[in-house]
Amino acid sequence: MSAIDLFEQDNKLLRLLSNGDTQAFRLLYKQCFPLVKRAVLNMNGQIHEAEDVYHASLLVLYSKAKEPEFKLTCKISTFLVAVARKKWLKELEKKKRLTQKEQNYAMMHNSAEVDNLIDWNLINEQSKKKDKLKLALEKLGSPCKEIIISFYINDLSMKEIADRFDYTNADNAKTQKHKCLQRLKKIFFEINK
Amino acid sequence: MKNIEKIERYLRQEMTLAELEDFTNALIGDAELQKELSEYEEIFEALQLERESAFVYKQIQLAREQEERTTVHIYDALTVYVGKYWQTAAVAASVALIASTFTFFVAKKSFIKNNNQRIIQLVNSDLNKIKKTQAALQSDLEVVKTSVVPDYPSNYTGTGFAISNDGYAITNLHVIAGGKKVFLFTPDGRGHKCDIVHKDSQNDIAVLKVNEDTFSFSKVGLPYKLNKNADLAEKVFTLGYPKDEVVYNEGYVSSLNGKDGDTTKYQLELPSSPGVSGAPVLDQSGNIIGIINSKESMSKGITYAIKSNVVSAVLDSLKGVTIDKGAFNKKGSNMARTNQLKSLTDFIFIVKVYN
Repeated sequence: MSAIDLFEQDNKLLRLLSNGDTQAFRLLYKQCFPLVKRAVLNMNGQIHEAEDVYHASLLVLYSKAKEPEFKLTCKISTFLVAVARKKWLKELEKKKRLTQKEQNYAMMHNSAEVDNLIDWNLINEQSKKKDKLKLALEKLGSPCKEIIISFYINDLSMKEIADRFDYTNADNAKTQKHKCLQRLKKIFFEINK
Repeated sequence: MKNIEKIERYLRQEMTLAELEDFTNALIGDAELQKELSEYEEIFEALQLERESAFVYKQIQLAREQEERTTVHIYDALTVYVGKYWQTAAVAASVALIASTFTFFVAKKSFIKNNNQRIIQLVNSDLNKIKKTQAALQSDLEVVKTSVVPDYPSNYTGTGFAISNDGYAITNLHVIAGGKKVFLFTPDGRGHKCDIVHKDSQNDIAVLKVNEDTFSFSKVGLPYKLNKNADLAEKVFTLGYPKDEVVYNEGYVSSLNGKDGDTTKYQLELPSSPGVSGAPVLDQSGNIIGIINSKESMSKGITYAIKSNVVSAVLDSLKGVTIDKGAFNKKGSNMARTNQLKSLTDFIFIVKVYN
């Protein structure tokens, strides 16, 4: 198989991925998780940390793949591993475990090609938003937190939520959900103050 | 409609054209509403990011599970390869699948989680059966003409129990999968040739029928009911055949699900040894809550049992098989255990498999 064919294959896989195709996720896991794992383990990480990093990197690829004009200029595995290294480096820094050794390793493996494909500022911004949301949801408490997660994140219907949280009907659950959302907004914007 | 509802419909793009027009008109000159909208927009963006994250996470979990069950491919490959023996192949392959999900897959999983390496073994007298079943691909499992007990040693032994007085019985599929001839031995020492009525490779269940016209396990009906749910910490006991004589053991339900949240099994704290695969697990009244299936190899006590309602569902799906539902045994709880066992032993027996 020539390099061009491989490229074709990767772009096809990317399209499937953007449609949320389970087989595409499976294939990627098979091909790329071992590589990400090795990269993280080589940089002073543990297996469960490698799993988190793989999740974060795949998320970057997934949202990129959904952009209509996005085209890969390298192999998917190269992309994922490069993103994973970067993510893990940041994580190490956050955990105060970063040493010169890992920095050198990352420098050595840095891929300008991948850097050009990604807006790191945007990604960091998004990570921060997600962290803030998580914190706000924690402060929101039960059952609001669960209702919000069920509806907006896990895509449950209002009917299912009414059943699960013992509301007499979907309308009552919806009223409650709106109250929860109002409180969530309040908490969310109080966090930075 | 309240503002928040409008904003939500707007942001989720659920508005009709008329609503949209109204809303955009209302926005003009209403600084308060504009601010509210932009704040909700930020919240919704964060929620959407989290939703994608959860979706990707779920996909990774699915992929990981699939990876850990790669032996599924053996099934596909063998079915194609073996052609006319596909049925036998499928059974053997699924047995291999069951066996390897317990040994190989669990070992791999615990490696990932960095646990101590724990391996489950099927509680069967012969673990080599996986290899042998694969070797047995070319032979046919079902057609057995002779009803005379062979005079050579059996390959595998397990335990079985009656589900009707006229000769229907249940054991684990992995107990019988390795040989051609299946016999059950009633407590009087007599061997009875069995037909294999049904194989459920997914749940590791085999339904047998004694191939004799006038056979009955006992003069009285079944002393237990099969479909009985267990509670956490419920005390249970079992009768099985790790040797040629029946062995009694007791323990308790330690978890309502099996390994890795397997909802078709209970986790029991109950000693088990090779040969008790297929043995019934009974509650204090002597009703069956499950079938012993596998154990953790590094632990003495942790045993997994297939839930009786799973077995019951399998039986319900069978056509042309008459099964006693069994009477719910209430008085068992008042009986001394020693007397209780006497009424049970007629219905629990050793299963031997010969080539």
